[in-house]
Amino acid sequence: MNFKSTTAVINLSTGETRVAEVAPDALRAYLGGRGLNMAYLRHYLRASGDPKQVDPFSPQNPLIFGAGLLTGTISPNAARFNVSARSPESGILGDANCGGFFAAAMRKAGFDRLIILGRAERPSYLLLEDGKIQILEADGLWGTKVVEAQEQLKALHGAGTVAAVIGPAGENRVRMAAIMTGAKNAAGRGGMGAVMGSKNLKAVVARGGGAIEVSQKESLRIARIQQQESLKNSKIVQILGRVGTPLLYEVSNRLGAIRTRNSQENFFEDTLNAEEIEKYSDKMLACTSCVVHCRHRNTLGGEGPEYSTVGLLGANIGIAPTDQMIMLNNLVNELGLDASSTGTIIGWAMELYQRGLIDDKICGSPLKWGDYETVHGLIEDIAYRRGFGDTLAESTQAARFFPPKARDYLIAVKNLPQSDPHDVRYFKGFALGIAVSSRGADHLRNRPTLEVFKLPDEARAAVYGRANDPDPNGYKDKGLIVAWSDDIYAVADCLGICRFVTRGFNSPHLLGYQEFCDLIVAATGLEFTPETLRQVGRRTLDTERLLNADFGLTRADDTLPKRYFDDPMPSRQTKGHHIDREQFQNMLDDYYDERGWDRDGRLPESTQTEIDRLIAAL
Amino acid sequence: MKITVRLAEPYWRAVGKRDLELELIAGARLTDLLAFLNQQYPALSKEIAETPPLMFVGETAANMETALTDGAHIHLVWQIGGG
Repeated sequence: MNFKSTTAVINLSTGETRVAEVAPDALRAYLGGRGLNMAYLRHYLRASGDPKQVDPFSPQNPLIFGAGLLTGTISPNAARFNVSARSPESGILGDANCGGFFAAAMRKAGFDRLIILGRAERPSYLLLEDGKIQILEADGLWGTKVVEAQEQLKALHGAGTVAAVIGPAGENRVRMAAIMTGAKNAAGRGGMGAVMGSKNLKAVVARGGGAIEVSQKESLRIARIQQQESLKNSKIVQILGRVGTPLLYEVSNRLGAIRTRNSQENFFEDTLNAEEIEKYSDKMLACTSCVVHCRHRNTLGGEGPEYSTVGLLGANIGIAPTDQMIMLNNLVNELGLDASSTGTIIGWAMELYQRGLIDDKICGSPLKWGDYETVHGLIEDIAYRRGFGDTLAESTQAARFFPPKARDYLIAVKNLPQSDPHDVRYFKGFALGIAVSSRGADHLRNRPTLEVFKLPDEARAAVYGRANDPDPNGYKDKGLIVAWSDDIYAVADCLGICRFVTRGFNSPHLLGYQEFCDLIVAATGLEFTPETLRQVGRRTLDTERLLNADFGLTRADDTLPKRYFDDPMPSRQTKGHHIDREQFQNMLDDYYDERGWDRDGRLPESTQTEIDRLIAAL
Repeated sequence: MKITVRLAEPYWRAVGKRDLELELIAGARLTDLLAFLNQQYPALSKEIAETPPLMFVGETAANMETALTDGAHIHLVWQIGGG
């Protein structure tokens, strides 16, 4: 089998569609998912002239849906796709990763990747079916919430229809709007839903088609069985399948590392512990080909919450009752908002109110920690851009409406609110990770989670490739472990494989490069070694660095919220910890060295030339 | 002396409850507590052997040699910190 990867380019302004195959060199260099998305993003932004001049809401901003290379096959946990564009939230590269069932359906319908250009004249949606693309009117759909939209589309097109949709937040170009598939699965980060809304595109619907063709069916089946067996013996897989990611809350909370009241405090109530959330869960759900089953279906009418939501719509805004936090989780999902950004931005606004930097004249009414009714109303106002909600709908860009000092309390990097509820002042590698993350403050890009484990030196050396300092609170060798995490997580994103089965994320075991190589050759016939596969991750990171350089980012943007440098953590084991500015710069030097970048964070010219050669041949 | 032990996920499931109230001899250390738990709760012993916990006494991280005092509150949590 000669493996081919199919890209459809759809111009909503003209109604034209064309389908092409990715050039073999580029396919091998980036594989799919996040990697090829980044390559295409650079290509299309540069084709428009100066990427800096491309308004995220303009028709020139490409919106790219890219399934992972293995997505939809029987490879373990291969469900994922990335959505990429210039982010209206951060202004830099926007890239959101999502699970569920949509990406497998998109591939079965005949498309590995969609590049959506232009803007439809009227509200529209795309129907992908048996290798064909239709642009259809979405008049009756516009204005619907997430699940309602998906149900309408299912009623229109029949069982087996899977849709990625935007809710009211995306329609109203809320800068932290998500693209949703199912009740909870979100391509949440960076406002990709708002880009979709700006294109008058309500949904992408996939149906039909057959099984995804693979190169060596029997080899893939054997690899799946062996890897599944190994994964099912993993403690973390077993526990995630029982209680989901909320299990992390108690650990971080005990340590004193839960972002609480906009990181003024660092621990919160036990009401948000996993077993409290379990009381509201009636089933654990899975994505395509998943062996973990980590997603709660809750009894309050939705799915989730995840740890990030527990923290950011709980502790970070002072909401302690379990049911209230879950109802806020369900609300943001129904409206199509990114829970991480929403919780961070509301927490920020609450602290500004607490400090008197904003008042009732700006907010419309008091904004108090833990005030569920106010928060519920405010989230709706954000989605529909009403009153003060219209201001907060600007996410980090709302800073322009506030006094300059407001920025001191914003927990964001590169204008992206921090994704997860972990206060990173204690584990220095976590801090470096969110500082250099290519899409802004985000733990899923490179978190070196093994820092929490007390692994023997030889085990650490085996994972990271050489001996390294085991002190998680020190600054030494953090460049090494963050760069290692960057690369393997990027490769998993190129393949469409979930973080929860990827080595380095919550476990030193799980699937590593060799297991990925075995899956790739069986599914596609493409041969890689662990070393050549890691190069795909490195190349993806390099391409992202080039994208961000086009938007004017420099070393100065690889930084942290002011509070993480200047305010020591107040309580518990983490008390007194903060990030030393000078030591942080040393970590950054080490990180750039690991990446092969110069001390200003720039790529060698030869690397840039090679990347541009590959992109030119796309 | 009396102490309380809070067990986080996954340890508490091996015991069936989140909190234990225990009586230990004066001067006991964490190593003595773990030996006691291993003896009393074989399923918990297995969990701890498979995934050694982070141990806290009150607000502070502790190790096997940490001395316990009357009224001490011990919290055993899993070593994990992803997202």
